[in-house]
Amino acid sequence: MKKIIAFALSVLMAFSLLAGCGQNSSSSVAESVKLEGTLEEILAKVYDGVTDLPMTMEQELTEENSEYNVGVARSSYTEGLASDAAINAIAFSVCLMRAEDEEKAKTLAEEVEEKADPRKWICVEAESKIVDRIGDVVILIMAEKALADQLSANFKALAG
Amino acid sequence: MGMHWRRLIAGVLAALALTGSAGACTAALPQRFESALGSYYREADYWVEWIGPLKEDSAARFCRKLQQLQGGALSEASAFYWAIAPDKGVYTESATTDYAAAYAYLEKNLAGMKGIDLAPALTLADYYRTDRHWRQEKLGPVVSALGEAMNFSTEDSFTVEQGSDFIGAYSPYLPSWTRAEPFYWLNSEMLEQVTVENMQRPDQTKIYWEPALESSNRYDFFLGGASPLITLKNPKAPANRKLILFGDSFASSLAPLLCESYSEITVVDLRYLGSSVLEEYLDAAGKEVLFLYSVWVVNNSAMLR
Repeated sequence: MKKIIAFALSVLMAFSLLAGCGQNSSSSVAESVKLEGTLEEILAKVYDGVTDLPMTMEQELTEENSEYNVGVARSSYTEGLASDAAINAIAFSVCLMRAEDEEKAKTLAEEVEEKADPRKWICVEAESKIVDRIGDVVILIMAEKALADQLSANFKALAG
Repeated sequence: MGMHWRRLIAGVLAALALTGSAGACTAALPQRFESALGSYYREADYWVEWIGPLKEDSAARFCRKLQQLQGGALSEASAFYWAIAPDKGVYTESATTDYAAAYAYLEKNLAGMKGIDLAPALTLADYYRTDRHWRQEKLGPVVSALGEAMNFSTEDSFTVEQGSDFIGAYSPYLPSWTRAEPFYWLNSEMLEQVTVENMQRPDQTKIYWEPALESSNRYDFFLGGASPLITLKNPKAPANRKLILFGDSFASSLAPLLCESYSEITVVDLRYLGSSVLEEYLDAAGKEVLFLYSVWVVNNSAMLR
């Protein structure tokens, strides 16, 4: 009887561990809307008006850096853009990915939600990880919570 | 069920979940366990990250990055060296890190740079039990190995200072019964006169960042923790020797120990400073360059920008 209780409690605790350690993670999906413009243009709109935005450097997501930046292989999407804090040892990263179609973007968003690592820098860790989608475009935001929330709100607003 | 029973069971569960052995009511530990921070195992009372075999595609990218810097932003440097900071997995019976393969790969692919094998200079006891890093007070043989390869010698004698016991970076994921361990650092008249300019912490002027002694990130004590660029200056060292040290957090405790031999040491962390802007912040002309990264970075080199 004791072993049964202990086993059941272990399973429950294992599930509680899956919640992470204070990591704020959320994922939401926008209604079907086509986001026009290049990923650079979309990023500029996401950054527009955000307070305390660090200086950033952008780079294309490639086979070499895709799993590090977003947790999934480059073959999972048609184009991708990563924007990280430049010259600053803070955990800040915004990545945009465009999938082949909306259906594939839904799957991509789920994968990124599961696999993107807010501790990718090792020595610093993002307080918040947010994955959103509008149409065929997926955004991954890893940053301090208040900043991540602003960026997420700007992205969602693009859905109209 | 009463509240106190729920709390007792929750506490037992915490220990059980961390052991991964469902159904057991003992503190027995598995060979390997998974946490939110990664894969770990415990051997001889040391918690060790499971890094695994060398990832050759990442090692190849690592070499290309260093060669790109050698031929570009650092083209006017006087000498190039590289070393891998061994992680403690190298010294466990499980030997979960293929340091030898990493060293051999870099040695084969980093032409024009001198490799320095640091593995013989360390043992498991030279690392923290609850943190990934090596202990500064144990780095004498590492400094000697670097000195032999880079043609410098150290005569400075250090006093060993001690802070309060601590549990290292793994603490959020370790069992509650984990023992704290001592924290030491080295000091000397030479180190006290070294000045620091830290891009991440502009108000920091000394090698050791004392607020870290009260924080959960104890290793930030060395040079103030993560920073894109830090410059250390020792006016009493040979003026003609200057070093650019590219590294991760392992470099933060080592760099001060090299100050006797270099009037200026610039510590650069390419995780936070992109290579494309390096020339705006760094003049490599006539300076020596040392790349010192852990196996973890060699295996995940996409983090170097």
